[in-house]
Amino acid sequence: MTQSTQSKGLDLQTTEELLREEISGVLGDSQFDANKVPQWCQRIVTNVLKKLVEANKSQDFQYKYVVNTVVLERTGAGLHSTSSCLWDKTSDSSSSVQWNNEHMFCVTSVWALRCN
Amino acid sequence: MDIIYEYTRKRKEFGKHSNLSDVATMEICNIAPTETFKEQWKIKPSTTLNIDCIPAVSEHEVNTEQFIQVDRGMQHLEGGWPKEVNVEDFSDKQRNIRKIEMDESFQEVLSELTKRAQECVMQNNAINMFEEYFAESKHGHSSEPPKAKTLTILRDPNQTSRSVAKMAWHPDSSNKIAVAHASLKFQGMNESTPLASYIWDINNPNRPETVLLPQSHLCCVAFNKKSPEQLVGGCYNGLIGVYIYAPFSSIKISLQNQQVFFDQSLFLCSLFKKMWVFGPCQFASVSTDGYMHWWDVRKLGSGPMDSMLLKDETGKIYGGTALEYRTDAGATRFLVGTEQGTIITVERKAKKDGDSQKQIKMIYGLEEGSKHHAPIYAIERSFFLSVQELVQSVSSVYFNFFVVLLALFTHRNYFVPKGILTIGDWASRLWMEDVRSPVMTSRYENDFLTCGCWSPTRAGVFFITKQDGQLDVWDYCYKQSDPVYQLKISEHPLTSISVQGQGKLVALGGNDGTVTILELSNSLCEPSAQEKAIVNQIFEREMSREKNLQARLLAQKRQKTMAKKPSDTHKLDFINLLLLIITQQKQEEKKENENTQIDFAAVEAEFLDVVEKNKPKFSNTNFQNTNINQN
Repeated sequence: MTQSTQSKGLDLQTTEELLREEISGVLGDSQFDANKVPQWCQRIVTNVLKKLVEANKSQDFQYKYVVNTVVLERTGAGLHSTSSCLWDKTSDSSSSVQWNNEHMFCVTSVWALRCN
Repeated sequence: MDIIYEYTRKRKEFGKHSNLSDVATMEICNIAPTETFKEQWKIKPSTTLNIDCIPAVSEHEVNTEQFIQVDRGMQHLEGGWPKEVNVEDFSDKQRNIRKIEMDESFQEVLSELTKRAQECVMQNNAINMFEEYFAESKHGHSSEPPKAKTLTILRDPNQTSRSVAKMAWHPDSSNKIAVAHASLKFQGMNESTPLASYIWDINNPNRPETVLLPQSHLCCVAFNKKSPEQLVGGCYNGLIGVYIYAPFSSIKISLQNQQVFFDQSLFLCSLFKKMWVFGPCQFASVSTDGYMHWWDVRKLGSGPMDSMLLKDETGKIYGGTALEYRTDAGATRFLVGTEQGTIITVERKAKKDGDSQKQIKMIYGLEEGSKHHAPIYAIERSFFLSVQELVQSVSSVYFNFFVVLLALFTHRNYFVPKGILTIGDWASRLWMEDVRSPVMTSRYENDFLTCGCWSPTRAGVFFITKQDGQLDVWDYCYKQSDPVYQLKISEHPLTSISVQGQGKLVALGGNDGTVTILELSNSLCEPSAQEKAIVNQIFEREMSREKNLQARLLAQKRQKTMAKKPSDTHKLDFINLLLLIITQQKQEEKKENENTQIDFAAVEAEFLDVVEKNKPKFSNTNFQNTNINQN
């Protein structure tokens, strides 16, 4: 069992922290501006990916990552999102973070798929 | 995005099957809407959706052009019964039918008629098999400038150069030409002058194909158009020779009739022109003694079959210098060009027994200013019109004699047989058969015109040769005031011209004995569709104009005479005065005549002397005797 958890390589806890950190780093207390959303998303996705690769470089297992970000204005409308995967349960994992400030929501998800 | 990502994999794990499994769905986010938003939520009870499971297809139609069929019928009514059959009576008709059916030849006639009728009935009339698709695109060469290029030059093989008196293209083969050489300058020939004339193949300009050896110089040659192996030649001394020319047999040429003829014209001049007429055996000749003869090839020995003196009502004798005959212009009509510069139409109606009827139908160009100032040297009906040609070589005889004479050459148009072109002095004239004066006259050239003829393929085109060695091509369809094309052929005067039947090749004879063969450009020999109509129109227009002018002139004359009548006393005085003047003039003239007569008598005696010396040696002694008697 320990082996299997070990092999689950990607540490979900640290990943979530990493995501939260990155999102708040990019968005902070900014007001929603539709023109800036594409840039924000771009920055979040790129930074997260870089950090993930950096953090897992020394691991035995290497992963492919899929990073997805949604930025949503806080108008009162709801948003519902789910995901489903067919993968190797022992090695692949995913993590998701929902972040918000007064003006907007941001949802960022990461899928990590073992490649060796 | 410069993320470098390396990974390694153990060898034992290569190709390892992955163990994949489905996991429970994971909620990524769940943000609930606010209360105010929830209230705005409405359910749409129905929706419209287009569903189509039929494949989309497009359609396009093309139809060939519709052929419209026409129904035609024919109604046959009863008819064609013999006179004596009563059509109303059925039994009468029945009897007639039975009579015909009993006839022996009925079966044959019926079967033959059935065959013919069947052919007509079976014919497919719905489709025009001979439809011409490209009729409109034809003959687009009118923009092409007229041109001519020299194909070859045939030189007189003899040392002494004699001018080309006449040329004739072989009617069947396109590359054979007979050339008569004779120096027609007065006393320009002596005993040492070679007699030979030649038949050339233009593809071989080095050597003549056949040599014609007459007893005296050939002044003219002509092929029989109906049987081209016969060639007639007129000699300087008045003899006529008939040659057989068969290019494909072993005997190239032979003199058919040993009795060569003595023509009465000897004492005046040589024969000028003959043409073959009425089929294979007969031809006519004219000469300057005023006689016109009709000959039969088979009976050359017995003299001309018919003769006529060209004389008008006043007794004036016309010396013929040119002759033209074409069946389509009238089988009995002969056009004679005279040394007086006028043209005469002679009509000869042959009768089975007894003498034929001959009469001068009309003399053209009697009015002052309308005739040529010199003899007519040739006449030709144009293929469309008639034309007169002028043979300058002949005129030189007269030049020596009378200093100035007029030359005239006539030629009928090939397409408008009524139209006659005459070449004489310094101008060419165009005549219509119905009008006594020329309908069109060109301006006077700087040089004497020597010969001319119509194009056999283009109605409005004719050629004129000049003494300065230049060839003028006129195209009445294009321009009436000037020639459309001029070409300098040689430094020597040109003497004769002959156009080949297809209109493409033109032979030009020179004073130095050379014959230049020219090839014309297509624009000068290929007819355009409306050409004939246009030329006809031009001629008709000019003819009616000329007729109107004549009518006006006549009316003016009549008015003048009417105006003179009233005062009788004045008239008497006037007449007396006139008589006085006339008698004075006559006396003066008499004196002058006496002077000139003396001169002429001497010249005449001298001339007769020369002629006597040059008289041909006759093979037919009988005929000679009769002639001497006549003389």
